[in-house]
Amino acid sequence: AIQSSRFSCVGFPLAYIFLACKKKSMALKLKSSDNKIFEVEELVAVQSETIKSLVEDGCANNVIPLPNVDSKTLELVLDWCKNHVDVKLDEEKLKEYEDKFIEVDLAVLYDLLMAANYLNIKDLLNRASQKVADMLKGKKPEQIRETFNIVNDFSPEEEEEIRKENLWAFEE
Amino acid sequence: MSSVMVNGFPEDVLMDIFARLPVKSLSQFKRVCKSWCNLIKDPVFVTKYVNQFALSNNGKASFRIKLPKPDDLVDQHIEGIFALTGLGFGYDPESNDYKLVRFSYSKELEDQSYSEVDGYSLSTNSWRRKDMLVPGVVFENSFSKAVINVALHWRGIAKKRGFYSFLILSFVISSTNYQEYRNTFNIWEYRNTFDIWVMNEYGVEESWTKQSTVGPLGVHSLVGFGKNEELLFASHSMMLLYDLQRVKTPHDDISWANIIGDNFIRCIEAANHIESLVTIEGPKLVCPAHIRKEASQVFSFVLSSKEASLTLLKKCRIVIVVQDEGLLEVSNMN
Repeated sequence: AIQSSRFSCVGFPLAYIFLACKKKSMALKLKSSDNKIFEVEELVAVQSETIKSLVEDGCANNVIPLPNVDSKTLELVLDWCKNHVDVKLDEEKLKEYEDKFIEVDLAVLYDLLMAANYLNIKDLLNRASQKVADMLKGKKPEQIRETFNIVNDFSPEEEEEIRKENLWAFEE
Repeated sequence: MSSVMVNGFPEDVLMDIFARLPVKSLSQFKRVCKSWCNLIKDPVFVTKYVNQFALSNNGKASFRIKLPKPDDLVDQHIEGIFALTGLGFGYDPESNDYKLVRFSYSKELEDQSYSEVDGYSLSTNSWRRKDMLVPGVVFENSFSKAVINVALHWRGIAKKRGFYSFLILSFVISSTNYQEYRNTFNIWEYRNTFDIWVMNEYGVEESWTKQSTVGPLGVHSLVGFGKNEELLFASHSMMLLYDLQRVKTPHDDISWANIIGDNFIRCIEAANHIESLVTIEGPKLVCPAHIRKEASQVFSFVLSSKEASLTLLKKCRIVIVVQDEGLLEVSNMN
């Protein structure tokens, strides 16, 4: 009992110092491709593995340029990160947030996916990839080409050959 | 960052998206454009895809292949309709070929039952006799229950010194290697439950360990294992999923599904299979609508792809379940 009470006595100031230190390094500045500066807490920003490794290498003292992400997308991404800082957040509420967040049109979804890939934010990348997969599922090749603006570069003969090869997949 | 872009998506991102889609969708998407087609056929993608699904048994893609009759080559040893035959299909990495292996009862020699093994090669479209008699007979006409370490596995019986014992017969697809794995447990005892035994180290008989006992469940065969320690059983008309992790909460651990109504069709065998992205090449692949009429000559089975075999190489554990009346089931578990 003596041991534990002594421990808690020193425990408080130690934790305080720890928090104070942590606070010091908390603000990071991110610059989007269109030169907008975003000031964010480190805890939010380091959900991006890309930014995290910059911070760990001591390269995050000044503004961090993100030439592959525009301000519109970065704002969305940072909103996602803010909502994923506190892991204890109500699971149901988080799911509700994510569902709403990912309900965007294809152009925005594409930007999010590319940003999540570049910034290496695993849960966002996962969610955005799943959303694209859900959009693809059940669509015919013709519909896919239309939705994703893909040019059919097969000759009719080549296409017919692939169709034959995969005949079972086209059975209802 | 990936430098290769496919329709605006980095290749690795598109691979990750594709990995979330069923084989049927992907087979259709090969038609979208050349770059999609190449990506879906890419061995790197195929490996990634199969690795994630290898043991989860999704979907129901099967291949139907018309085979030449093996009779002219090998039938002189097979005695009538009582010949017990085990069939197995798998990829042989040594010859880069798919093979159907037939393990069939041959004769009694010195108080021991022997089977002979022959194989059909997809690339040559022919049966090849392996002049080999091996001790042991498959327990029932069946397909190989598992492909592990590029070997096929059947439940079998062997007679030695006048006594029958149950064991697992295994046959390496690429070679003429034959092994048998016994477990030391006495399986003649009548039991109303399933005992789960695990061979911790593949091929080492001493490593058989009893894991747990399940039941009584009122089902007769084990179909397979789920990734989260679920056991899938089948009876004549029902499937039953038993959740090993939830055993402690009664009635919560079992879910039933009616598969074929209330018809007690005895010849139905529930099988476990992996969807494959690999297309079998060659003239032997017949259009399904075609061959339904010739069902008697057609084996219908599922492709165990090269990649699946490679995956299983890394996870070399096999499991048997000892069942009512001393039957054995073998399956793989990750």
